[in-house]
Amino acid sequence: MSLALSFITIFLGGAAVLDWAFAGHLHSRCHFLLKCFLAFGFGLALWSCSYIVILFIVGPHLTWIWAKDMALSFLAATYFWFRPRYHHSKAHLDAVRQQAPRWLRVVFFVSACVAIMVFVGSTMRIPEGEWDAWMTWNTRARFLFRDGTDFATIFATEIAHADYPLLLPGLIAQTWMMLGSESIFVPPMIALTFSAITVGALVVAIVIFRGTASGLMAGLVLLGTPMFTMSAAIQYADVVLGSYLLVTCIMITLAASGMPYRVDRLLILSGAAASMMAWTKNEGIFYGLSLLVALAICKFGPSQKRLSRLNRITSFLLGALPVIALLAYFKLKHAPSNDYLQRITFSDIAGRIMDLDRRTTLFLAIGHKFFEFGAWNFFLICLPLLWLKFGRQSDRLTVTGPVIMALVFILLGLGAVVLITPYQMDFQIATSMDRLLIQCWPSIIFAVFLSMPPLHPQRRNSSSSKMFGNSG
Amino acid sequence: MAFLGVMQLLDREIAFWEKFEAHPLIDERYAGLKKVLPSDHRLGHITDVPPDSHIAAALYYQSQYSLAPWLIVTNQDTQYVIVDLLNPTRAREFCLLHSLEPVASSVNGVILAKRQHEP
Repeated sequence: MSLALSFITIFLGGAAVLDWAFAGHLHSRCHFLLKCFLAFGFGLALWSCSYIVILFIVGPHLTWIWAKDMALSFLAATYFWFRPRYHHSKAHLDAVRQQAPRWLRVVFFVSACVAIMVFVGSTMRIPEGEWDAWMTWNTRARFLFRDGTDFATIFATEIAHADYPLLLPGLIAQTWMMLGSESIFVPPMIALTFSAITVGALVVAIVIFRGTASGLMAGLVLLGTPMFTMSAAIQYADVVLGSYLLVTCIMITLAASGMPYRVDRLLILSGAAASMMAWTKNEGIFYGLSLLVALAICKFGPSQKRLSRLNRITSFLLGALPVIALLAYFKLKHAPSNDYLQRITFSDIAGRIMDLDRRTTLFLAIGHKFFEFGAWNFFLICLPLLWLKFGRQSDRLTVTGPVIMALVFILLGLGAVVLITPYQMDFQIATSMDRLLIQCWPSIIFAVFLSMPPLHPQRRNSSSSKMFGNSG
Repeated sequence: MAFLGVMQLLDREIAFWEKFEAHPLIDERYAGLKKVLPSDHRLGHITDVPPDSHIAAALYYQSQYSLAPWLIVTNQDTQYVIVDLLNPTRAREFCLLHSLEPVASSVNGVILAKRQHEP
């Protein structure tokens, strides 16, 4: 019963937010599917954030959590009851009717099955996940679930990464509360859900912009990156963060694409998704800022004239505000200081940037990653080459510009973080470089496939081509 | 290339099932102590591996994970201590050396001990 209420809260809450942001107009199976994937992502974040708010206000009382879930479900149901009935236009459906070859569908289906098999196999071998899963996320979820009224222990300096935000521990602990038991399979199920959201949202978004063949191929690239599946299976939060980064990129691109949606609402939602990144891991704050700067600098596709630069920034910040306020309260009131920032001074930073050995090590590591990233493949070098070949056409670039610029900022920033790390550089590269890249990987695939012309163009519609920037 | 990536994933999967071996659960190592933990929610932690090593960190954080909501600390001011040994055969000597009195034990060299001198 409790679990059913939770599920209703997650899906109904997420669906209401998505429905408000999309405000009707376009209606197709693909748009509906995209909204479903995004609704799950937003619903899970909403459920986790509201739990932490209740925790901070009244403590971990099951009655209050029940009441919170019922209130959220009631609000969402009320929204659907009173919302305006939209007239759905079918003007742009041609763009998504391109059929993919049968072999591609089969290969994609087989790949998805293999990825699920790998996930299940790894979960059976190490159900508690790897280091960061049990040490950082699941330990704090256990404190939240087991600690009765004194949840403040999770902020003790003895707890690993006690300054990390609480989206994932909040989700795990609340699910345990609703189940009434501490099932070891809850963290893997949450990891699987976010992986499915990532793959599903990527495929459907690319299908909407570039047709079915491109969408399936983009999904295949993601599923064909062994490290993506492995990171999900060992329950690291990188897949969760990558999922919200992708959702933010999709929302910004939809807003810029010129589709007849409410641009301001889509940007509010992209701000909200960006704030979920910050509520997942500390580096999410930097990712959100990168997206904000890119939004301020870049041209905004066919939607350029529909919303001024200032209004775009304001909408993004407005969406981010509630969760950023929660994050600020958590950081200022409860969280201990960050161990990375604690160990670093400005003189250290200058010294490390000037250190030729460190720069050489970093460049060699980046060069190595081009050929080895993701535990096997050459995609990291292939995708930028594809972008150089296809992605620089000005009409497409104005739509993809904010996302690509944000990803460039993010990758440069991550390189700088590795360069100035207070820890041993080899250790930092070995333990975090792949993981930082896997956070950006779904969004990189999204940006590159968005920059390319459709892979299998069968039907073209001039108006939709113009709108989606399909001139290649 | 994506297809080759998937093939590589499949290859891993086959290799994995050929030599499937489930990792022992972290909780199993500390399960014997859970019912005898003291009411004081702060416990010390001491181990027979060098304190700065990767293994020492793993044992410390694993005890934290398994025994939550008891807070495991590394300082000396706690009455009770989790003795976390990689070499269980030396448990008796180790406790004598550190003036610890065993109270209860779990599997594989995990012991709840009381300090003989009040902190």
